[in-house]
Amino acid sequence: MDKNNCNKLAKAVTKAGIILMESGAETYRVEETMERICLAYGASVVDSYATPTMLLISFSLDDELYHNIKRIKKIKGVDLTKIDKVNSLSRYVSNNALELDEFVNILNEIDKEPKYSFKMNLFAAFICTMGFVFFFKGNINDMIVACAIGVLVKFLSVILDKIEFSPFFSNVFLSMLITVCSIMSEYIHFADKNIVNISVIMLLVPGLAITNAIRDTVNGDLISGLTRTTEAIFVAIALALGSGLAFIIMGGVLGV
Amino acid sequence: MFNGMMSFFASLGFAILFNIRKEKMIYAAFIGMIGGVLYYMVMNYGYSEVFALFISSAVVSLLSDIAARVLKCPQTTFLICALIPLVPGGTMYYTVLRLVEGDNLMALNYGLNTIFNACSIVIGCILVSGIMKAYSKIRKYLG
Repeated sequence: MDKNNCNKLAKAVTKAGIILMESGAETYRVEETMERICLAYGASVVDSYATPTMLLISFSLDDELYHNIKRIKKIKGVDLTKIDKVNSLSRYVSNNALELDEFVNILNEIDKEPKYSFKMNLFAAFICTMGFVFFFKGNINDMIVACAIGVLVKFLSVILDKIEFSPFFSNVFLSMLITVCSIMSEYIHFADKNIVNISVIMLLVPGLAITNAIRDTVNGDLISGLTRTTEAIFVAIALALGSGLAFIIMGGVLGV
Repeated sequence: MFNGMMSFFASLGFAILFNIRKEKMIYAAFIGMIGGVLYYMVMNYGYSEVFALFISSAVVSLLSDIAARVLKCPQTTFLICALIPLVPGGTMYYTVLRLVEGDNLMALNYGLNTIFNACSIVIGCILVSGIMKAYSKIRKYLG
């Protein structure tokens, strides 16, 4: 490979790493995938390092050392299909010959792949809260209230994300909204506030961050583990703050 | 039992939110359902919540590992959606509720409960992933 192609390889590898990290892959998977791609294109002495905020890759090819550093500014939405596709692409590359340009093209295609539509997301929020209401032993009345709030919350959270509202305060605001609605629904003797609240708040709980934090820590990626734990804890604090505020305010207004 | 089955929909919803495609989505939801059913079944036999969560999270991660090997895709795909119904959101919520009501003793009680539950889920997952890693190493070693 000539020098031009080597630089291209360095860029392509970090691109793959960024797609994985932004879609919420575990750290060891990101590092492993980057190394696998480099080795597949004939590089030796490959070192890769990934954290949720930064990627590093360095490898030597034809006695020349190449490296690339990428800063990851923000985690985009979770997308497990992208992780799956990049992962299988890297496995394919290490077993079969594939032109570098072709590889970059496929990566770009994967990156541009559309997610489920907005309506489908709202529908998912509906199913999700319905499942949770019955999982927490609620009844039909609880379900109606919870699903309505769940869809509303998903709708607002997508919009707040789009206008780049600070994630911490958007969580505070949304959990406050959930609690206010659930207290109102109990006030008119329609549903149980606790069940409604728990089921809808599950939509905002940082499940992925927690799971990944634990798996990173156990795999020995301590810095990534800490970063993700911090992320999860701050979301949890935001949710608690929102609901607590709502309880205090509604307690004053309605006297419940 | 019925309540446990309902975690199928919870997992399915998250599978869509996390953009999993077609048949993999159904597998993820199905594994989630097994986790939910096991959770209630173990509780029904009179064991504590902590133990129930440990068992169901271990089984969920074992099943998602097997599914990942069979369908040749990352384990995360199934694990995350299936584990979410087990997350101790309920006790977390009650902790905040009691804190706001000024009942610190109960808040502490629920808070400790949340931590224990979370830890038992973690230990269940780690145990299985450790065993599966050792298993694949041994299989490679034996040829």
